[in-house]
Amino acid sequence: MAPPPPATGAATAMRRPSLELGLLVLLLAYPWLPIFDLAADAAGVPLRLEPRLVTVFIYALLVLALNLQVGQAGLLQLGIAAFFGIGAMTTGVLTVTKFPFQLGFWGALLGAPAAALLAGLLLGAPTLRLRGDYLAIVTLGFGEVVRTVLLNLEHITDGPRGLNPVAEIWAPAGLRTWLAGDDGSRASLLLTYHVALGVLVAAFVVLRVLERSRVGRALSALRDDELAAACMGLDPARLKLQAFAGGAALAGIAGCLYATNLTTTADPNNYDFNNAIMVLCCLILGGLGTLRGALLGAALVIGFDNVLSPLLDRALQQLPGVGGHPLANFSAWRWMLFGLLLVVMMRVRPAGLFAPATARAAAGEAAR
Amino acid sequence: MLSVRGLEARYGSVQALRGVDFDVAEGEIVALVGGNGAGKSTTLCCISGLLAPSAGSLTFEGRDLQGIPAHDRVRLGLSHCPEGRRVFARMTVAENLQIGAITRADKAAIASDLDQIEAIFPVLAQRRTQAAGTLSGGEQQMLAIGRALMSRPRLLLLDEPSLGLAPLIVQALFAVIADLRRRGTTVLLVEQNARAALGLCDRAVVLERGTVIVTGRGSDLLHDPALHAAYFGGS
Repeated sequence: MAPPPPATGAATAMRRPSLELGLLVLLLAYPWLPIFDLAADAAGVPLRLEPRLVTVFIYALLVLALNLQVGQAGLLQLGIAAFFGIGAMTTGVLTVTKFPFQLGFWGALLGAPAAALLAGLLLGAPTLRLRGDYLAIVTLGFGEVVRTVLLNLEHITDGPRGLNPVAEIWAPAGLRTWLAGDDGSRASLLLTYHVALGVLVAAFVVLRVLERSRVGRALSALRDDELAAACMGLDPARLKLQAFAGGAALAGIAGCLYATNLTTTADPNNYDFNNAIMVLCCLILGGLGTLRGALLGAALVIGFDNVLSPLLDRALQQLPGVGGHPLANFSAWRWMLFGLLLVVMMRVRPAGLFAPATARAAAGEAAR
Repeated sequence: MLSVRGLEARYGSVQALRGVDFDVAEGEIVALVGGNGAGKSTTLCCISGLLAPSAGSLTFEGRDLQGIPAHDRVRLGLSHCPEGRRVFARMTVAENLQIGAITRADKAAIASDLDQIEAIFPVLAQRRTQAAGTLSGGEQQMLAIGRALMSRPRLLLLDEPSLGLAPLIVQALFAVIADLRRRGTTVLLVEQNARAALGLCDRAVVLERGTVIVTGRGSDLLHDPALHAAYFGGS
């Protein structure tokens, strides 16, 4: 018997890749056809979308990483920001002139996930036997410890100032000219944009293949029932550690891109608990355990935070009679709106926007 | 095939097994019967490796099982169908069955086993693409047994297959278990429904408070007055 199609039906499965491919083509072409920027200019609220999209790509990677750990393996962890920070800091150490390594971006793109993977293994090996809430508490603590260590190891990390300048993405001069002519900073931006997008696509494809592989099925079995999974001949401890370390490595890659994009490792407070929770929110909004849901959640939440919210700010400031008023600041209100949205989501669609039918049935059972 | 010697197990300070001895020969159906807390499930968990015994030895086909983790025992041909069905609720029926064969690499044989299991439990073929969590209790139990069979076990450990099922479904299930033996699978069965289990099995091992009090042919024990008094009440 051939493997059966997922419960959503063969037709949807066929349509899926083309939707994603279309989106990818749009994003690849966007820098040469900046419709949004032109429209924003025309509306009198100038906003450049590309650098903000880079942020969305980076967070999308982070959400995918967390999805591997929380969504697919069922390991509730609240310390994803720590691996993000470790990736960023490793990138700093490997590229800034203060240290002798100076491997450049491409070296850091290998080094950052390696360091985060190692941290994931070291944290995961002793703690993954903990269940549910206890793992959440340990990882939360780990996140805070990493942040504090990064803040206080000043002779390595430069504390709150962060290491800088982090190396730009190296590319042959011909490619840079082809991308943006003589405009050096534009070439750097476009390089970051396309590399971040490329890494995101690569991660998505790898995770999609993994999801449908033996390991993917083993992980969903583990998430549904650990004891039964062991009865099937699966090694829960090893699977959990693999998923946890894999997610950590992916978060490390996101950290590398983050530091490269900012050209600094930034204040370690950027990698705090709030950050971890925001990534978790993206995942829950989009649909825990689904790759498309992870991307959608990142696009909605981070897009909202980085594109819509500043846009509304500028629009509000230009309204006669409103501009300048301290309350006419949408960014200050956005977390409230965001919290409200999550409450509504939990009420009407607890399994997330993109949840498969089976997950929705399970969520319905849980809420019964 | 399987020999259990002096098996002891404890949950914290509670000693659940106090020296259990019995054997299972190839091709047999052996029933472990006894009241609540007698140690039936605990014995199964020790055999499958979900629980580490505190003393005693387990030998499966001449191999000492000590130190072999649960997931590796599946590869040796031991399959434990745990109490309470425990199907993977968010996966489809077909995915559940495929997970059962995850230790195997022989695709053609897996496919033919899948066909065989769907022939034994036709309802699983009808529900192939349905989420396992949406199945009825009896269907879930059939799925759990089918899933355990997908590893092609030499010895199947069945824990309370009749739990919570309607009498008619229990009858059908027991017919399937009898059929499994004809196909060459040895079965060690834990049952609370002692009457039904004794009718089905070749031999029964009666446990009480962590020790074996009687072993014998199922049909003999069925008419053993002492056992009647202890488990079925009356005379």
